[in-house]
Amino acid sequence: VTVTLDVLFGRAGFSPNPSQRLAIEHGEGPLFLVAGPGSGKTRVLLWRTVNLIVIHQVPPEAIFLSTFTEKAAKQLQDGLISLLGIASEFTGCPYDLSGMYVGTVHSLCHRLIQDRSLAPGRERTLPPVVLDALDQYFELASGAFWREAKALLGFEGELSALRELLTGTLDERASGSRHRAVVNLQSLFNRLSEEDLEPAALLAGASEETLPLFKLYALYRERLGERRVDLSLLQRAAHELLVAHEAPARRFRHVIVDEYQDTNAIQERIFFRLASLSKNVCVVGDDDQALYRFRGATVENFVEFPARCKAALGASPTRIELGINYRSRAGVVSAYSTLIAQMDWTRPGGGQFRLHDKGVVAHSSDVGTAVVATTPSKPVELVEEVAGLVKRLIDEGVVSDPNQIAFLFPTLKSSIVEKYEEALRTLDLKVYAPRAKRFLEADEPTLVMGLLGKILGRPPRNDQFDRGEYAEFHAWLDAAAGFADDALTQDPSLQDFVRTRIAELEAIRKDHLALVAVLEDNGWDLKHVYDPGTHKRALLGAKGLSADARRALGGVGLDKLHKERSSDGTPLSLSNVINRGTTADWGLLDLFYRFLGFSKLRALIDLADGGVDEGPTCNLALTSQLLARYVDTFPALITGAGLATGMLQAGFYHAFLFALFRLGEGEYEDAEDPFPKGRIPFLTVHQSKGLEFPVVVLGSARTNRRTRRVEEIVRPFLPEGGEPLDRMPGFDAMRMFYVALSRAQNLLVIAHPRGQGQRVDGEFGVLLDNAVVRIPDFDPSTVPAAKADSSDAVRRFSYTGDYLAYQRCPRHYMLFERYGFAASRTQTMFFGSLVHATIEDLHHRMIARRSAGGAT
Amino acid sequence: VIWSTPTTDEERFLLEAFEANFDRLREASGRSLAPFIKESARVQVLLYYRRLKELAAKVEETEVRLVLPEQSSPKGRSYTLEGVVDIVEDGDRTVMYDLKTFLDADAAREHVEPHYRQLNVYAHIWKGLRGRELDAVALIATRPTRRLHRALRAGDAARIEAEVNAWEPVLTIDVDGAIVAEVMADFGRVVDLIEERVFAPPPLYVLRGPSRPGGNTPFAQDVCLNCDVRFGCTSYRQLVRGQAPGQADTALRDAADDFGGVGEKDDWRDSVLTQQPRIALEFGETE
Repeated sequence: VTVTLDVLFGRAGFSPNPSQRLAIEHGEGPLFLVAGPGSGKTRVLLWRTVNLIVIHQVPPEAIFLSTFTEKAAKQLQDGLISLLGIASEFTGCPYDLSGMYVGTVHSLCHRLIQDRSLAPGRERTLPPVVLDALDQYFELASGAFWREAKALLGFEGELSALRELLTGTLDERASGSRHRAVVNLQSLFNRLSEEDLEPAALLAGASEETLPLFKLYALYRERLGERRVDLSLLQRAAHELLVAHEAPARRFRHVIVDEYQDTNAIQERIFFRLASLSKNVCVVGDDDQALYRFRGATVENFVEFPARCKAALGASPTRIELGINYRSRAGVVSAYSTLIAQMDWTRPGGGQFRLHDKGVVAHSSDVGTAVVATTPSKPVELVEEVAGLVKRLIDEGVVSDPNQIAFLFPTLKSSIVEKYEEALRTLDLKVYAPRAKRFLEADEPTLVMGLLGKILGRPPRNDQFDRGEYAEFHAWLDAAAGFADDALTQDPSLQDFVRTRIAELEAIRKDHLALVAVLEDNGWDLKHVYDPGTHKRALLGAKGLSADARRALGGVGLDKLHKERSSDGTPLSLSNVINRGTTADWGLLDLFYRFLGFSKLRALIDLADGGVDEGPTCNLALTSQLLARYVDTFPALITGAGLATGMLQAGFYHAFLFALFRLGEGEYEDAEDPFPKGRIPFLTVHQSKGLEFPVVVLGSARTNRRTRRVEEIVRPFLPEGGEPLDRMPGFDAMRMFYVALSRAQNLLVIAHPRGQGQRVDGEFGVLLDNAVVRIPDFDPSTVPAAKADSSDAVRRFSYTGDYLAYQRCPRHYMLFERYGFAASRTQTMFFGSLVHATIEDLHHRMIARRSAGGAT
Repeated sequence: VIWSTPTTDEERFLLEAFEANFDRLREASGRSLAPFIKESARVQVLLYYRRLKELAAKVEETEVRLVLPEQSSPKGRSYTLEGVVDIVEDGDRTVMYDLKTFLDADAAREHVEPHYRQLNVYAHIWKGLRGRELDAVALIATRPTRRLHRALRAGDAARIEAEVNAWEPVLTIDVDGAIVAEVMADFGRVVDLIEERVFAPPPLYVLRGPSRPGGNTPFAQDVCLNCDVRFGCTSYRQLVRGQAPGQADTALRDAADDFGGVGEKDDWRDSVLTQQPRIALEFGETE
């Protein structure tokens, strides 16, 4: 039984325009898809894949489809599953997508490395340990790294002087702070890894200024060793595998890459290598929406794709433009098209740094006012005008929920952001800005950390550092303590709970001292191997030992553990035994979940049931993830040793919380979507990538244009012909605003500040001239009402993960599945995964053996 | 010879894979297992092989994803239903197996209804996708039954062998399709509730009742005690208050102060001891 695409189009209610159809039906050979904002790109990718699988009968496992975010990958999968299900009805063929590669480059690289279908005997290969951005930060911030760095460079002075030297080369200004040094090194190192530059080559080509930086890169690589990789080196590892083996290039017959303008050098190599045999690489993107130079992206990969593809694969791609914008009203399309044309893109010696003639036009024929500006005014007046308009849009039903109005900013670390929030709050409008300023400063994490501080004790303020971010951090800890005090005053049962925990910690501290005293009296070292015959009685005789510790040291549990560890060759040390005897019965996450039982936090969670206000629950979910992050990354801290040695202050407060506090927004995870009901999202333009909103407020049209030092440092090692260093900041600013403006569906609001020190970027002049409609002259009722939910993705529900879990307990489902709370006790999950994975290994071995037997 | 010592290459492979998976999961999650829980996982894997190696040799596919698109909820939401089948045997007969690591066969046999519902739906989807019938559908309950467990604990080799041979971990489930429409309708109802964000906890009487129809363990013990958020749950709080008439506040306080029995506390201490931190810390790391 066969089926045609047209039958499937008809069944799914999709009528593609001519260029969409061309792109969908393109079969063999490289393809260059230039897709403007709102041009139905995702749909085209979806149908293109359906065409390959259903019409051309390409097996799903021969397709490699890379997306920019996991969310985009999931949407594509959902869509594919749904469309292929329809196709199955006609063809009678099942389509199993589990072998298809869909995901971010990082996750696909990770999968490639451990794919047993590409490994001999289908064996599970031991994958490298992947350090994500936060892990990498902690690795570079560790004392050991800096000690070795100092020795390697033969640096004689204080560490802060070394950091000043390094940041002096890397940053706009020199700073002795560890944090500044770490984030700058991180950015440089990732860039070097993604450009695939080897330490040896860098050292050979280094200048006097850059030599120490490259030496530290070599040190970093050495410290990671063979088993650990960061996210950039993960891609290098995958590339190495591809170069060494041809199996992947034989397996993947179609390589499809979305958001190609934001790929980097090593990724380009991966894609070309994967397509080296099939020549079927399809790239989709828009150079005007390139945003990630600061993460090493090379927009030239896209702009020059035809030539680069010819050079790499020996074949020129077919170019197709998807220009018709189905998202925005005509006025919005005209605004971003006009803006980007204000920049001079000419390349010296001929040509352009930008692809022109993309055929970007609005599908909508609605020519009503779609772009308005504030009255040119001082920030205080301007934010009130905007807040007033927002209120009217909500009250008059132009939007059905506040989460349909997005405020976008080049950076959220700007004083205007707070002013907007204040003006909206005055009108009883709530904002959702998990990364505006700092997530930790939101009410919920502040309260939770305050309560933890009451139990763990907070670190003393060191006068020597009491300025800048250190002072801000301690001011936040003060505020957190204040929040906690209020909560404790209102709730005597919470007071009881906290007091009991403090008493437990005090007992642990005392037990620890008593046990250490026994070691000292006997001349035993903490590292000594534990021998019950020699040590047990003496330890149990420690002065004033609590009943808990006596039980932990004298019970059968320890004897059993001792036997097991002795027999598997990792005998317990005295330090292990003392830790076991002086460990609190709870961890940080346990405390977090107990706090949720007290009235203050309980009431916040109840708000999300029924969707009244999901904000607090989302914030609490993130807080639980942060605590889980600490628990999963660092050594356990609530032990006698941890309390006695100051590990608690060093680890939880200084290594972890202070780092998160300084990293502020943007470093923790990708934007949430959909945004919580009842709140107005405040986002950076970067966070808004790929999203659309009925109303967009561009809160600030101002950028600081400076070339990043990292660009200058790597430039000598890159091929010639890249964008000129001095023009990059202007290009990047234009692309960022292009993205911001094109997020709007029905109405775009542009802030137009005026007054001392106030300005907007010059290119905005053309949009903010006399012809623009100002808010006081604007009638919001002319804006079409927002569609309830524009996403047409069909959601997937799993029988066990959703249906059975919800039936068992809707509240548990809500918190752990819907909002992503991090579980405290994970033994059950770990157990299940371990048994399942091992039995699966067994089956794979047997299948492999049988097929080998069948072959001979 | 201790019962759990591997005796063949196959068993050695299995236990090596087990250790490698343990290390991989520990590295990936940053968490760990208490040694005795790890040991019971090891025993389960070995038991599976020793009892079911003939079945394992016939496995053709693992982790088979079943998808049923274009479903519509009572309120008109379209959705896709998805399930994963652990193994499919496809030789002389085609049999679908669902693996349950937390279920022992005796307990499962008494309450077959939930599995009957689930596997009938899976079989229905399979038939639609592959266009052919299954010969049988079964559940594999890999947790040792009480008798087997007691034998393992006693450690007498002859008795263990006898119990392993008597062990019937595979439970055949009737596939008559009669229940499919009913389950699908209920599934759609739940999809609507999730999308409408109806997340109230189950009422008190559910917590007091058995966690499975006809079972002995109350819901509160089976489900709530393993739930981190129980202290913030209205129903659970009602339950605790109701258990101590006149001393509700004390009862709630005691519940909040209770971090498990001796065994649980020992597990916690031991799993903390075997954790492998990704990042090492040095003392006194301030700025």
